Amino acid sequence: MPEETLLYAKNLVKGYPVKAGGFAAGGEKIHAVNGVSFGIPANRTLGLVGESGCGKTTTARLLLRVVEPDGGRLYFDQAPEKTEALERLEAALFREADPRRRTALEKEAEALREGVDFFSYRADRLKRERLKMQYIFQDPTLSLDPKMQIREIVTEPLVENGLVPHGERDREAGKILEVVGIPASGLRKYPHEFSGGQRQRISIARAIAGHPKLVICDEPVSSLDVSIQSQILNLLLDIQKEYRVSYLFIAHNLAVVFYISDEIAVMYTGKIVERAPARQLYLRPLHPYTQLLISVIPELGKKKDITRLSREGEPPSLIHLPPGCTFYDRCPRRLEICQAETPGLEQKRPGHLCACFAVARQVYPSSSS
Amino acid sequence: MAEPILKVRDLTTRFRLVERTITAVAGVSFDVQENEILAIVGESGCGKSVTILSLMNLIQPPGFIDPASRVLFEGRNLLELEERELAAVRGGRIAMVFQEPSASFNLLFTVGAQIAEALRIHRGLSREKALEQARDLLRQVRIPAGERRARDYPFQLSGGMLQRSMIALALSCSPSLLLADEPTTALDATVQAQILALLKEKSSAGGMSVIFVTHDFALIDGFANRVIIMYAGRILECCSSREILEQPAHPYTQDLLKAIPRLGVFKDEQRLYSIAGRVPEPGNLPSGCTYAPRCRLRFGKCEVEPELLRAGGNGKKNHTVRCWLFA
Amino acid sequence: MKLLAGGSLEIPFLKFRKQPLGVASFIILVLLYAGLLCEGFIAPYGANTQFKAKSYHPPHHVRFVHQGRFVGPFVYEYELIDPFFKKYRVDREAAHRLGLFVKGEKYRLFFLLPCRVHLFGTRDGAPFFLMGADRLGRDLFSRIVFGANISLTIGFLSVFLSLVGGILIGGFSGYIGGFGDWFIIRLTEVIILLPTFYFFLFLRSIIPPTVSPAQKFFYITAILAVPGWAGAARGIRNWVLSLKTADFVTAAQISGMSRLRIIWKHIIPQIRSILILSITLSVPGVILGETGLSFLNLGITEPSVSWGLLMNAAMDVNILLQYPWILFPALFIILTVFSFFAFGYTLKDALDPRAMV
Repeated sequence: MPEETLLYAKNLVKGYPVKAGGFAAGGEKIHAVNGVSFGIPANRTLGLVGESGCGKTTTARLLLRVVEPDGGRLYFDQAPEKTEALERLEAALFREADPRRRTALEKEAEALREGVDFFSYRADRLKRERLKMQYIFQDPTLSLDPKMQIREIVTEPLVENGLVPHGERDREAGKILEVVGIPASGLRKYPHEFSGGQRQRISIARAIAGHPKLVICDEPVSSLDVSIQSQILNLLLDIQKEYRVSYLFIAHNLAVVFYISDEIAVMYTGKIVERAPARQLYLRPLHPYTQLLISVIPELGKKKDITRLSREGEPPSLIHLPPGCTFYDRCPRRLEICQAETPGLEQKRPGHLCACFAVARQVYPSSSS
Repeated sequence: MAEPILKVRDLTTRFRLVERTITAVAGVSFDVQENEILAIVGESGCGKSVTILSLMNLIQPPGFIDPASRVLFEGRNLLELEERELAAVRGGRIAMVFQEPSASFNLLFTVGAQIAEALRIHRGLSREKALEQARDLLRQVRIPAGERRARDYPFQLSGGMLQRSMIALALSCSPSLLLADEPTTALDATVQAQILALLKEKSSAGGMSVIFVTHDFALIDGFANRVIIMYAGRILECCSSREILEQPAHPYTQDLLKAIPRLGVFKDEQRLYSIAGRVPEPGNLPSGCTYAPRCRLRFGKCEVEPELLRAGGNGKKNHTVRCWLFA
Repeated sequence: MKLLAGGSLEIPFLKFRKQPLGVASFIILVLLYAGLLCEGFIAPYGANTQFKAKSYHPPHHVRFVHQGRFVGPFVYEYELIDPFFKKYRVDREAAHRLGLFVKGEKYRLFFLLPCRVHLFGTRDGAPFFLMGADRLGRDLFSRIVFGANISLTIGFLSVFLSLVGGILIGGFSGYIGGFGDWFIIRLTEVIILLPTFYFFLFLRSIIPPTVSPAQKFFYITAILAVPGWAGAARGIRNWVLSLKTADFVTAAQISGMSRLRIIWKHIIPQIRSILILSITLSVPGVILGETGLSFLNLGITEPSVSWGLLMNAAMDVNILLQYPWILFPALFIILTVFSFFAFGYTLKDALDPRAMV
């Protein structure tokens, strides 16, 4: 894990049982997230794109343990020595044959993991660490408690963690709201007294109140009017400069994600299929799905021939995922091997990862990960 | 120039609320030509959906359409037709597609049955013939295994397939005009592209005009022929899709185009333009030009509401704009 | 989901004010409950103060004119003429003046201060039966006043218990989901399916007979709370379920709030108005439940007094025919129950979410 990586998610897995009328029907699962790994550098924005059902929202919720993962681990704000020590230990464990030594190593690994893996944290440690990772929701209406005044709403994370004495509460609230452009006169107002754009600002204020290191933005501008979207995007950029915070930016509007992200990861049926810096991804998408996505997004000033698309298909069912590459059915570049084996996410160009057998590597394997 | 198939003149729709009466659509006039795709673009609350509903006289109390409004279709004013005559037009000559396909289908009947029903009502086909055509229509809208899907219930179809079914339903009686109110907003990008391609295909092939309501500017390019920009219940600009992108006249249009993130433009190149203020509420409109409070180019004359004016010479015959800058 | 916007109780308040029936019933309820505090003051006598030889004394007529002259409020003495059938006749010779703030029996004002002043009574201490006397010569009005204590209190206490139980169990159930939730729901369904009154009787039968009146009071209160608890639990659970996935709840989770605290701080406030409504409409049910039990001598028993117990005295049709004033407690029961309903429904209409988030 490179030096300045703030967050590293490894092999996230999450499945939901298929419910038929309240009870899980025969053990079938919706495989929402199937082995997702990625890192987010400090003070950078990673965009996450994909269509509905690709697992991006589930991934976001896994990071905060709003839902518990079925598998995987998460290093958040950890010194690289610690995580590397754990990785080394686990590699050693893998190689070790002697059962007694194994038990000792397992115990050691377990202890290390509890200190380092976000998913293993107990309640009190989790509570403390959570403040460093915050969330902005899509719908500003429902993300604010309609019965609470906004001064209470924005300071709630602080009060819950005992960071702000009761007397200071209003002052803190005023400061935070000023950052997002809400005047102090609004302190005692209720959410419904504000417009959608303002409510989203309040939501942002709540997220940054505790000076988090990472803010997960889940479709933050999708519910807003077009003329307001730019205000909020600019605000997010300004906050990033000022607070030095990282963003995981999820949106289905590709234009927005490409604009605001430094790097972008593309998801399809619960896996990351490509990842690259934004500009590079736009100019030279490697994965056939990314190419499809970019080709269909309406672009102002670019005429795109969409007539051929009337015959296009849809993603496979998440309950019965086909073996091999899940994009096989729709892929114009498919090979025999694609149906049999699942391609791994590999570096095909410097800084550019892609999970596709049809894409040749133009990078020589080196020691950098 | 050929006779437009739809002529809307002075369409005004108001809503009588407890405290006051608000005007959702004010004096909207436009034409739709044959085989033309007209896009109505605007943000929420601008009155675009109300306009569409008003065209087919679907406004319910407390809303009411001003009697001076005229919607001329095939020589008749739709707003003056009897319910029975109007019902014959709806579905038969003019069809509608909405944002939520699941809201348009009855969950208790199969998709095929519902399309067949429309065919029986408007075309007088027998039950077997109607079902057969329904199946064929589902195939035409490119639903995979369309014929078999006719026996599915709405909840068994995905959003994209359901929307295509809705289009099949709309197309079933070969209407000459299709009204589409944000049909792709709830759908994924790839599905959206497919639906647009389908509509374009049907429009150019089958002699059908489309009025497409959306809030997404980017859809216009390569899809719509002409564009109407609406704001606060009024038309601010009306021109071809090429002109709106290359030479937008109204300050609002220009500002909007600068505020929207464009694919291919990154944050280190350009900061998005922020339009000051917010969209006015229908009940609380400013006097004079409705965009003036937010307009960077406003001047004295803007205290009076502008009329629809010609947007300059250069052979721009069909470019109108509601702004005193062009007086 | 329609959530009432916060801080906006103004509009419902104004709407409520416009309804005369609602306002009137509210005033009546306030008076009734305020009266509880000064029951000793309002009642001329104690609940069990007996007047010998005044058995089944009819209600005194309050007169103002004595021997042709206006003298102010007074009553005549009533003579017992038939000791067996308890018939009385007015003696126009012996008159007793009535007054306000007269001195009478000792009691404790607001349950604290010893006092002798009563709201009204005879100036010379002669017995005055505003609503007649019962078989043992006890003033019915005084008994009604003291009976209100039990009946009105039990209503609230019981409903409060139901609510607390409902919030805890329903909230918990909705939040955890899974098998625990399933089990609790089935349990509430069973309770609701059982015919309420027979359920009361059943629960009552398992109380050991040798308990003090105070303990009995609590047992009865608890019994009456059970069906209410089941209903409240389901209602609260439904709300928790629908709000569980709301973003602001998730945001609170992310802030590190514990589940219970989230239910308390974020979910319950959304249903504040519904809770108030629920309480208001449940209390009369409980009051009637207590009335029924005590009427059957299965609830509050002597020497305590409740309205239901007073109704027990009216069980015999013969008694009722000869001494109809025994039925006065029924008037109060009806008045109270009706007021609760009128208030509750008016409140419901006033709170109708026209102001939606």
